Amino acid sequence: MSNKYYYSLELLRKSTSNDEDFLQLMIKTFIETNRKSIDELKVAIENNNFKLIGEICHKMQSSYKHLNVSFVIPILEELAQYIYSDGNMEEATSYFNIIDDVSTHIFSELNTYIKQN
Amino acid sequence: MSSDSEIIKAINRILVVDDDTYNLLLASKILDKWKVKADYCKNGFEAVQNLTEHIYDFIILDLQMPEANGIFVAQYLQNNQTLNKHTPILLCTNVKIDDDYRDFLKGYAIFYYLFKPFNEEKLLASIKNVFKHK
Repeated sequence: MSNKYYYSLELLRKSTSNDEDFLQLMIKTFIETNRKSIDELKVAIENNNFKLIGEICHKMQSSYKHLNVSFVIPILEELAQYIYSDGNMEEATSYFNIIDDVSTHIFSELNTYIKQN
Repeated sequence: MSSDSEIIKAINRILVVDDDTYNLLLASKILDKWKVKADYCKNGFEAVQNLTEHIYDFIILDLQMPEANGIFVAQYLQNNQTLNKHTPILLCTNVKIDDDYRDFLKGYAIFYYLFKPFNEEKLLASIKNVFKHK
């Protein structure tokens, strides 16, 4: 199942050796950990904490890359640079909205996938 | 020792250290498939505890973790006589490693890398690289 504009389960499916139960566990973990990260990212932005913004986005990268979330990966890579130097809070806010919107859509589709399988 | 299955069979025990549940689960899937014994920790403190209790063939180590990060673990191994003082570290990271950073990491006896997101093929290739230099 995939939506070419948002994500793909192809790599994850391959990594789980087509074990459907494990695939679903990985999907649930993806949703849970990144929902939490997005909440933490929102707070980090509200607190103008560039380093923490960078650390959270750095952490989110590997699972988003695994699901090939093409809209969000470059944004996470850019915000991850905030670990090393102060960024731009307006930019961070704008990027956060994209991360949040796209992720909400993906989480919803993935939850539907889990219910159907 | 050249075949993939021979290499996998030669592995006794691995330590996997990552604060991200998603990455730990992924590693566990691959290592379970390989029937390789592994211990999993979410931070450097837990890792150090395991490193004093068991001998590992190598350590898959995340760099950025809260509280005690990958460098903390590498530094601990360098500074203490432990069962794993010479155990190779496979640094698991998203970060691009340029020459300066590579030199910095060599100072902590980190010579091998595994880039996220990893899969079975990438992990095996990194392990082969470790065994080639052992």
